[in-house]
Amino acid sequence: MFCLLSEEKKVARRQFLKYGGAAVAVAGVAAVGYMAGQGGAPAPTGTTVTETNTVTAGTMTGGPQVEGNIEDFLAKASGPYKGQTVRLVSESTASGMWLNENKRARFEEITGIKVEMELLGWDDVMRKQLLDAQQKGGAYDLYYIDEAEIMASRFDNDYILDWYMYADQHKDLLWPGFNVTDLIPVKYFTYKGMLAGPPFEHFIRTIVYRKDLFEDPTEKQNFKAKYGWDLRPAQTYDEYRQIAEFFTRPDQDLYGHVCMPNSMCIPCDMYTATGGYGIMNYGLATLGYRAGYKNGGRLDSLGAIAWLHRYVDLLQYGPPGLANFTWDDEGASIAAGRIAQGWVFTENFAYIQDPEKSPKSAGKILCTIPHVEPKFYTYSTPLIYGDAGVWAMARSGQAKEAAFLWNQYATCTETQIGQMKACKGLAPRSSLLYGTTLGEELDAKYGTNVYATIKRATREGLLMGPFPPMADEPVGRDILWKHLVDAAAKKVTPEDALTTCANEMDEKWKSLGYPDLKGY
Amino acid sequence: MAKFRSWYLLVPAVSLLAFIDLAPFFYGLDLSFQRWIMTSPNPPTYVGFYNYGFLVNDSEFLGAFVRGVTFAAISIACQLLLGLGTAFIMLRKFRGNVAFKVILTLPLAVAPIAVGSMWRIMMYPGIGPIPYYLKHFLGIHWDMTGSSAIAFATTIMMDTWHWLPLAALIMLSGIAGIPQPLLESAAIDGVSILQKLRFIYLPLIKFEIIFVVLLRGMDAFRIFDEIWMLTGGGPGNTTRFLSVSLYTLILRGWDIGYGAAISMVYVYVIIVMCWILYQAVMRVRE
Repeated sequence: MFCLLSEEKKVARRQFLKYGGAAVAVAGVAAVGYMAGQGGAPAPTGTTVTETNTVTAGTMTGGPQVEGNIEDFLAKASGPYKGQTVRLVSESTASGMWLNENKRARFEEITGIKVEMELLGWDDVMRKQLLDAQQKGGAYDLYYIDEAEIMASRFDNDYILDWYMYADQHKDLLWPGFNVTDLIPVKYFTYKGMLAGPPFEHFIRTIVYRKDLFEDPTEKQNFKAKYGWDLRPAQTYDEYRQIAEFFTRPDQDLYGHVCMPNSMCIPCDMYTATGGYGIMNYGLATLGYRAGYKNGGRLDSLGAIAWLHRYVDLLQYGPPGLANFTWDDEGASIAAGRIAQGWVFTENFAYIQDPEKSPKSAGKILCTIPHVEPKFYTYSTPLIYGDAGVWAMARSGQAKEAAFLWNQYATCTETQIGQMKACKGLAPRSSLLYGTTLGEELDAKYGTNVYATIKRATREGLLMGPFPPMADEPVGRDILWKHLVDAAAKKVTPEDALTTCANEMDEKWKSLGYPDLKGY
Repeated sequence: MAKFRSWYLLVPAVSLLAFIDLAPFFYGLDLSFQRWIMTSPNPPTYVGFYNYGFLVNDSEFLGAFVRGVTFAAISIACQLLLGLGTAFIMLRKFRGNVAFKVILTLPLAVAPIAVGSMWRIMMYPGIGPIPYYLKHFLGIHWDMTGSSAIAFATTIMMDTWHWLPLAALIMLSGIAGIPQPLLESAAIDGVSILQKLRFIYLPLIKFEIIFVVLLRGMDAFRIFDEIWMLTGGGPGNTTRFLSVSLYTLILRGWDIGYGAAISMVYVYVIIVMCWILYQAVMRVRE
């Protein structure tokens, strides 16, 4: 480079380095100053939902009438806590992601409180928060909890605060219009009279089917010719199986069944997969904490064995790789238009019913109530698994007041309206589900019946709750999934799997000091 | 004093190493004598050798151990055989020899977790190119999520792909060190290739073979990242080796005490393998 310049213009190398270095240093300082001035996370992108921040008159009936809205309240109440940061780790669910992209920045704008959300896979979330809680690290102010046994464990270990007590002690931070009992899943997160927190998400796991395929005249004709009855959503296991068989066409990349037999998910699947005779409590006896049939449990009962046989049998009608499917893979398969009928969590409707994200499935997916076999029916009503999530306040958290304010904002009616519109399959508040026509409007708009199904499930008491609140449940779950995946892979028979599992589980509960029936 | 000065100078480094290496070991040993489930409100309690007694009768542990040993044995056999062949190829002079060597050793530069991810994408049914081409050209239905045998075979293929270059390079160093006059006189005597292999190469690279067997054996027995990414331990328990089993026990079941006991047994087995390697190397050198 230097040789191309004339003698007059040649810059001595040393001078060049001197001035060049100074320029780089100035640029570096300027860049650092610019970045420091920016701070925080970049502007949120993704789903944009137009909504107002006050309750729209005409769509709400009933509910408390409070002067001013929550944003005004938060702006005042957050005064002493401006500049603080609320840190939480949560599963990357549709609702969590929506709140992160659409409400976090608004909350910071109103209150001056920053919210940092780590959205991860479920396994990672549990690991990080348990380690933080156990070490009292204070890295997080809110812990994600989606199962009752996790809640029980956190409460029993004194890792989280009772939301009711905290609200009572900090009345100045509680918006008078905040109605926590309006939240449908509150009962799931109540333990010994304590509340883990207001649930920010609630959805169901149910059977869905392709409306376009089920209503296609050619399909209907062919089905009737083959099986002798009119094609419609299954009402028994045999009907489900026949539909699955009919629609399994690998050459067309179409399959008649999907579920989530992945090792992490299969214990949850056992509650809901086929027949409605899911085994609650891991088959534990009502009294006595024993899973084996001979000890009063039901894990290796005839109903459980029949269920597992059918579960394993249906796997042949799923897409390739089904044995490894998680709840996300289920949703993705349905969104890709590969599934004629199957199981899904309605939280996935956020993209399944989005015409831009999933053109192959949007407007084509309908929900149906799972079928039941009376002779194996072990409970009178629960058929649909109700799932929910809450952000519980960590005892070791550094910004409890700020976290308490964020929790209210994330679960208030105004926010939930936006969440229902964006996520298309979530319904945490009774007042919105039953007191407005929002659910019907969304169903009509997206050509589905998910809100009608959620309404029916909650109204008729069809929802079964999550796992029982038992702090040592992860130990049982760890034993359970191993035997279930072995049976799903056909390495052992369902009888052997459940019998061995029940024996191991009983041995474990006994070693942990849980009483059996003889103790009563 | 001067005599021991060199030892004194080593004290800081040895102390640091002792702290980093031994402190976790003794803590783990202490945990192995306790019952501690992290999610439970019950505090950790000492239960003596209960965890070790449970371990001996635990079908999950025994099954995972056997599967791990089987995987290691088959994997090492493949790497030995193919490594030997590859070493002979690398020894020859041909056009592109250097490029061949560079390409061959590329897998060694890939992190284990990346290897697992890559193979998962390549082999996943319905997505990966390998099952697609196998089905279209050879009519072979390769589903590692649905077939235990295929999943197990896939893990061996992946491990062999990853570590074959190492085995090849180690054996190449041994083969390259064989005196040329020996090979020339064998050629003059009209020794066949198999005889050369049996009577010249194998005895003279015994040290390298043992080294590969034990080094790779230890690694294969401890494998986790690749297996976790590729199959997650499935289908069923087919690829649920001891490391995967331990991971789920501790970080899903949160049974810390029992997990520590299994870890101690794991460490013991690896130490025994190290000791065998050391003895074998010393003996060969003599």
